[in-house]
Amino acid sequence: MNSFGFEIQKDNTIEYDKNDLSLAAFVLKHEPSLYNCIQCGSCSGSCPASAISSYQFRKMQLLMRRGEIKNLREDVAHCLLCGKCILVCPRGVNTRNVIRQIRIALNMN
Amino acid sequence: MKFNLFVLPFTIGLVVLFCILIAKYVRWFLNLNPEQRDSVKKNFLTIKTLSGLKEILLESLLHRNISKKNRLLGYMHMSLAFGWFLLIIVGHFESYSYFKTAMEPPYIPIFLRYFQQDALADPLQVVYWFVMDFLLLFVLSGVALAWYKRQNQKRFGMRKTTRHLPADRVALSVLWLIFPLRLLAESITSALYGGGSFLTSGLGSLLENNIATNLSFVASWWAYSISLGLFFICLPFSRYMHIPTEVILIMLRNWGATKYSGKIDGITQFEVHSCSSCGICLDSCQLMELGHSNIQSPYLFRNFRANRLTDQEVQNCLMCGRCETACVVGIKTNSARQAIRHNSSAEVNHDYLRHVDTSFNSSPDVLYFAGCMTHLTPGIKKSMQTIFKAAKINYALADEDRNICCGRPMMLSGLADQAAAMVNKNKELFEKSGARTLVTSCPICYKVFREEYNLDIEVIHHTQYIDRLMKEGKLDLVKSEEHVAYHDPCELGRSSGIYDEPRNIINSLANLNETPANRELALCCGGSIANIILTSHEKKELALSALEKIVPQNTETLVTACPLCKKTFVSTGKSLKIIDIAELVAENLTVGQTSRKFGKFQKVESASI
Repeated sequence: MNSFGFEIQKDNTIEYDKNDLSLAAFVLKHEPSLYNCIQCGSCSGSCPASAISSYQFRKMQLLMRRGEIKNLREDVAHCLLCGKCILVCPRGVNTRNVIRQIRIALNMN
Repeated sequence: MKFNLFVLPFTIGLVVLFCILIAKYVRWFLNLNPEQRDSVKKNFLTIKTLSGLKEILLESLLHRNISKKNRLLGYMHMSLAFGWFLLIIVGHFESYSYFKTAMEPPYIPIFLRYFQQDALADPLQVVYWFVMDFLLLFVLSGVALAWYKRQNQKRFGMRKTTRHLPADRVALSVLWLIFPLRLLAESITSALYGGGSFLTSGLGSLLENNIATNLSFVASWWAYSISLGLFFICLPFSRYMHIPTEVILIMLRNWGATKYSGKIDGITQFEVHSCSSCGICLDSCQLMELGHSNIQSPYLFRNFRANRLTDQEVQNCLMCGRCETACVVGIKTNSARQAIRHNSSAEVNHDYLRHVDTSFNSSPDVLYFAGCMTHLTPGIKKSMQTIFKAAKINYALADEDRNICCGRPMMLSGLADQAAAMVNKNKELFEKSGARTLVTSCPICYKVFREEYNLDIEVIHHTQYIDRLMKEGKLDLVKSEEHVAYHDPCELGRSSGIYDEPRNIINSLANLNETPANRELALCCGGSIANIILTSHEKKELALSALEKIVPQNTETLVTACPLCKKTFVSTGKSLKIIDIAELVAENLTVGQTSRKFGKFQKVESASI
C-alpha cells in the first residue's frame, strides 16, 4: 500500500465511568490550584524537558484528569523540577506541587 | 563512707544521662563520612583544638553571640550556663578543701552542705560559703529572667518565642525548679545547723521558727536530688540535648569536619541536636507574615529529633538562609534541611538527556549560561549579549536552544542523586566548549556550578564578570543621576557571599540608596524554588511586603542580580522600574559601544516580560 504520510488514528473514547479518577481527585485535593488550569500549554511551551522528550505537563495533567493514567508514571519521571512552568503559568497553578503530589500518589518518592 | 538514700535520684539520673549520651554520640561519630572523620584525625592535636575550647568558653558558657543580639537575653543564658558551671567547679574545690581527696563520689560536691554541716576551723570555709551563695543568686537571677521571658519575650528583643512539646515543657519546669529547691535545702540546713552566707543563712533565719524541721530538711534535699535526676533523664529527650551537643559541634567545626554530605549523617545529627529551640531565628522568617508559624527551623529540628516530621516543616521553606544568619549557635539550617529532604530512592527517568547535542561550532573564550530563569526574563540575556559585544569578548551561549536545568531545583527538593544526569550533561557541554570562563546570570546556577560541579574552568556570576570588565576598562559607560536601590538575592548574597561587586557596578552608574534590609539581612523575594508548598497568592504577598521594606523613598529603580527575583517582583504589578544589573549596565553603555540603546524611562524589559 502506498504511504501517503498520514495514518488512521485510533478511536479515542474517554471512558469516564471506567477510568480511575481517584488519582486526579487526590492531586486536586492536595493542590487545588490545578482547578485553575486553562490548558493554555504555556508550561509545556517553556519546559526544557518537553523540548527534548515526549513529556508535556499540559497533556499529562489532562490525561490524568480523564483517568487515563497508564503512562503517567513514565511521564512524570521526566520532569526536571526546574520550575519554569510555575513562572509562566498565567493562572498561578503550582505545577511543581502537582508533580510532587502525583509522585506521592504513585509511590515514586 | 558519706552516703544517704536521697542522693540516689541524682546519681541514677547522672548515670543514665551519661550512658545515653555516650550511646548517641558514638553512633553519630560512626556516621561521620570518611572525609569528616579524616579532618577530625588530622586536626585533633593542633592549635584548632585550643581555639575550639576558647569558643566553647565564649559561646557555650558566656553566650557571647546571644549577648550581641540582646544583652538581657545574653545575661539570662550566661547566668544559667556559666553560673551553674561555676557552682559545680567551685563545689568541687570546696569539697576538696574539706575532705582532701578528689576521688569523692560525684554527689558529694553537689550536696556538700548536707555532708558538711558543721562549721570548721578553716577560715576558707566562710569564703566558699560566700562564693557559693553568690553563684546561686547569680543562677537564680537567670531563672527569674527565664520565667519572666516566657511572659514578656519582647523585653528580650524577641517578637516570637518557640512553642514547646510536652517533653520540653517538663524539662523546662524541672530546670526552673532545681535552683529554688537547692536554695530551700541549703537554707533549711543553715537554719538547723548554722553556716551559709548572706543568702542561705539569711533565708534560713526567716525559716527557722516554723518551716525548718527535721522532716522539711530531709524532704528538701530529696526534692533537690529528684529535680536534678529528672532533669538529667529528660535532657537527652528534650531540647536541652543542645547543652552537651553544642560543645561537641563547636569542636567538630574547629576541626573542619562540618562539611555537609547532603544526606543525614553524623554532622546532621550533631547540628540538629545543637538547636536549643531558643527561637531567636523565628523573627527573621518571612513566612511568619503569612501565618505559617510552625514550620521554622527550630520546629523542623525538634520534630526531626522527636521523629514526628510532617510534610509542612520539611517542604514549606524558602531556604532563603535568613534563619542561618540569625542563628546564635551557627547551625547550617539550609544544609540540614536539604539533608532531611534528601531522598535517594525517588524514581526519575532522565534518560532522554542522552540525546542532547553538546557539540560546539565555535571555540569561545567565555561561555555564557543564561539559565532557565534568565530565559524567562530575556531582557537580561539580551543585555548580557550587548555587554559581551561591547567588550569584544569571544563568547558563546551554552544553553540557547538546548537548555537543561542546572540541577539545583531538583537538589533543593531532596533529589540530589537524581540530578546527576543533568550535572553530567552540563559538564560535558562546558568541557566540550573549551572555554576558560563560565559566566551565568542566575545565582541558583552559579551556586550549584561552583559547589557541586567540580569544574576545571572558572565559574563567575555576571555581577563579578561585569565588575571585572569595568575594572579592565573594556566598557565605556556613562553615569546617570538615577536613584536606585539594590536587592541582594539570597543565593548570591547570603549563600555565595557576593555583596561588593554589584555595589561597585551600581555606584559607578547611578546613585545607590542602600536599604536597611541589605547584605546578609536581605529579604527573600518570595519566588524561591525551594518552596513547593506556597500558593501563587502567598508568593505575591511576600514579594509585595518585601518590596515595601526594600525600596527606600526617592528611589526610581530597583536593581537586582537574579532573574527569579526580577520575575517575582515584576509580576506583583507594582509601579516601579525593576531591572537586572546587566540591564542597568547595558542601558548606560555609551552610544558608540552599542547599537541598541535602551530608553532610559521606557520601563523597558521589566514591564514587558
